[in-house]
Amino acid sequence: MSPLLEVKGLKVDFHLENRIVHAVEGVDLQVRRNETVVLAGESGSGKTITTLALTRILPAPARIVAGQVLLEGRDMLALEEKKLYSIRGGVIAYIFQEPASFLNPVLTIGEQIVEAVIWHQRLGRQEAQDQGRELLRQVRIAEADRVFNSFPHQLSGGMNQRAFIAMALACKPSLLIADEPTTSLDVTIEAEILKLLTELKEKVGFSLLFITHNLAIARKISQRIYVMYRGRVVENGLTEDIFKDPKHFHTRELIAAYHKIGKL
Amino acid sequence: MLNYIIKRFLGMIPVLFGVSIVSFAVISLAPGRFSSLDQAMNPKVSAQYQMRLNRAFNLDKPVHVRYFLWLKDLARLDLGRSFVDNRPVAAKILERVPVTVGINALSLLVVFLVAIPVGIRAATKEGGAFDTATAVFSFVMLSVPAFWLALLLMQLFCIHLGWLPISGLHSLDFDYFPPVRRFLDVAWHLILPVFVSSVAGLAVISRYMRSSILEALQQPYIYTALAKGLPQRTVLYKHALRNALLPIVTLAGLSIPGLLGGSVIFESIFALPGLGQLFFQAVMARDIPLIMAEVVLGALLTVAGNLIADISYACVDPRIRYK
Repeated sequence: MSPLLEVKGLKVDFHLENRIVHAVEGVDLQVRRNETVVLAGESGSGKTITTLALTRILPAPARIVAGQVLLEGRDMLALEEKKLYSIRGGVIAYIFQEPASFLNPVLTIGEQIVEAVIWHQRLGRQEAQDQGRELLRQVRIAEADRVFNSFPHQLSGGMNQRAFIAMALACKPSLLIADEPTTSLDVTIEAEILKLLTELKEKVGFSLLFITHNLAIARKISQRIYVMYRGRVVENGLTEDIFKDPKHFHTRELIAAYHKIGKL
Repeated sequence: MLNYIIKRFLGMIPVLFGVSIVSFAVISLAPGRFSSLDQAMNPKVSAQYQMRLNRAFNLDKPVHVRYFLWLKDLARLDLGRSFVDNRPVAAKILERVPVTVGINALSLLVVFLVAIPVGIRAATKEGGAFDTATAVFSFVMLSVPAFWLALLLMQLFCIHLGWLPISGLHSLDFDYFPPVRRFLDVAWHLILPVFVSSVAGLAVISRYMRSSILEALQQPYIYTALAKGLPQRTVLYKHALRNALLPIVTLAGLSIPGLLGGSVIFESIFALPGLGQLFFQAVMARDIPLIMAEVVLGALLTVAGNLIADISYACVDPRIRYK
């Protein structure tokens, strides 16, 4: 069976005022159905840009200069912008690092979930609102009604991230891209969010592409790891194999950091 | 929220006292008195006549006594009578209010109704022809003095082309017009004044709107909106615009005191009987009750405008709650 997502030779350049920066220089990766894959690497190695390029929601100076992004066999880079609307959120959904700034400060949590539901599923407002509350309960928010009517600044980071997950899952995506979703949270909340994500993955059924520089998380949740360094995938393989026998020095650095934290 | 508003209202009182004391002092210190102006024109005015005038208007009393007399009247909502024609100051101001407030409100409306869409368009096509053209227009209009622009436009539209009336508020035979034609006549006379008084605001607000939208479009929540699959239009008009309008709301609130501030130069050029003209005449005549009334009114509106700006800001931005 062909993989859900297959990226071949993806290259992204940043066209800055007086120079061109090669942010992603030929990335190949695959995500299969119901698989959890970790994309690891230091800050600035091109992890986030790679995942934003998949649905072409890159910042303005970034341009995709080469490669293919095959989603269920269709090349996303050849599609016209309008066709992407149903894929973003509908097939590939994202959760980001800091829910507080990635949620719109002037709209309620409920409105931000409901607008996605209405847009993708063409539901009426009332039905969409019911579904929104149900989604909040699904991510284990006890006071779903209160959270539904709250603005992001009224909630804790962990609560916002749960709400964000509910929003991402609103339209039943096949692939959830989680870009360091726990980096801004404290350790206990981090553990809860990771548990929630793995549970939901079993229950709802989606593939998870998880970005992190923390290999402890990678070891806990993933089947396979891609290690990125300076815009390239420098190593990839089964999680256990990579821990047993890291080839690239950057992988060894990341594993060393993991062991160092373990000893603290 | 209600407590907050009451507290702000109470806070306004010392500010208004301060403003009235300072302006009363400044006007009293200014050289020349109402009673001595006649003499400057006509040397035959006798000393007795001057003394009689001084006594009649309490000008023979010390400043602080006059201030408290003025304050006593104000406490009874009596703004006093004008030195010049002995008419109540309140009536003199009220008859000028419609012209000034009308023109200012219209130009404020024009400014926000035009500048916001222009700013949005310039931001979405950043660096494009429209953006460049509006940038040039803005910088030119900000640098050009309004009175000079007014004169140029008058020459073009009123003298060479003859499309618009050159000055005043209505035609000579206005009184014989049916109501619809009166309305059109006033509108026709207002085109040029409203345009000239909007130009600077247009330049500033459209640029402000543009940068505000550009800033909002770079915020992380825009990526979220895009990642949800929302179309460009929704991302721009719902997610970016809602946030970009926040500072504009403040600006709108802060322009409220400007509604009553008639421009002297401007009203002179277009021969409009507005508050600016009245104020200027009052200053030239050392007509203290009229000057004080206009100053206090201006101060009151400024403070109230700030309060309205703060309240409206809280209405549009859920993160702001006053206690």
